[in-house]
Amino acid sequence: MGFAAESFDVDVPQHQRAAFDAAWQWLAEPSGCWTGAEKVAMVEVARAAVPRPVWDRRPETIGHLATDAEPGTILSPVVVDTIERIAVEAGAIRREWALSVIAGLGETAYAELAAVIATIVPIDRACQLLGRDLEPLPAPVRGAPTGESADATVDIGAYLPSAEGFFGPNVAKSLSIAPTANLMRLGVVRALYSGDRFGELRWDDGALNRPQVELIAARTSALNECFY
Amino acid sequence: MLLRASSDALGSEVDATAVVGNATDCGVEHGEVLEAYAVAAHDALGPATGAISSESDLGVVTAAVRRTVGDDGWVEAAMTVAVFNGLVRTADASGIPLDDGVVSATADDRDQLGLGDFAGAANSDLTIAAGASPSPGLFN
Repeated sequence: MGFAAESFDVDVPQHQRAAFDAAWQWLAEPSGCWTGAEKVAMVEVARAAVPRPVWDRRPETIGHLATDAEPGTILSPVVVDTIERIAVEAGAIRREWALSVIAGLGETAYAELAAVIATIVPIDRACQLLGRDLEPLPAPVRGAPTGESADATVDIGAYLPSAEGFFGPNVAKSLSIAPTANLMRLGVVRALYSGDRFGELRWDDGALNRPQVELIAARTSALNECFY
Repeated sequence: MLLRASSDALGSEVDATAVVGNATDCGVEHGEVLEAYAVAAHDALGPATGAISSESDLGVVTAAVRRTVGDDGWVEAAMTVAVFNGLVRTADASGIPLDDGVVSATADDRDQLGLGDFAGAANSDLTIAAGASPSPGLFN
């Protein structure tokens, strides 16, 4: 059924449901560095993650974690740890830790992993806030990773380099080293937030005007201690 | 910055301290109930992504939002909360700095709102001089 209109108790615009469906399809398919099974498993980990108590804080490096998946598992301990941090403790991520993970996984693999979470979390959150059950995860599509990665990159001062020539502010280009993954998560952002009218300060075609949306956005970001 | 700019475009004056919950009348239409919704949603969702708490006042606040701005407004509010829960993870996971034009344009607001205390502030060089080029369109 996917994100069909009747799966919600309230009218959700078609373009938003279509973005959700597209994200679910992308989640199931192999991408640059990960198989569909690995990406689906990432979301299972993210959904089950809970913040660690203060007496159980994790080290700022990954040297103690295995980089290969154990028999019978899909994801390695270092990948599971990375997913859990981004999913529920992203505000505690520090440069030292991020760089050590990126050195181990690779820049594009890390970017794709982050994009999986950044794409699925808003969809899950939307469902939760609208009183809908979380969508069951898709059956993975067989196939090997495609090897896709940006042809050339530039340093923007972040943990990851960005695709050279990518137009947009840093939050848009942040994961652009993984081109398709970045476009997928930006597709969800556009569908749920600004559409193609970001540069317009007056939004007169929705139920909320632009300041009302921006108030909710800014308050949410402050509550999440999002500096950016 | 966008809250202030979009309010200016409507000819209204906004109290930006609403962003950190310090305004009683921020100047945004129905701002009080929408700000309450953002808080209630945040409290109910919590940090774990797979669950939502039933022990919150989200239901009460949601009902108020629906009465005030209608079901379509509620959906837009929920989608806004949802998408910014993804953007914070993108920003924190990638360590992106503020865009140069934003650094200078938001200096006063950052000071007023205490945003420099957020951990992500360490990723930005906040000494960039005023007058730097503004950012291009965010998601276009």
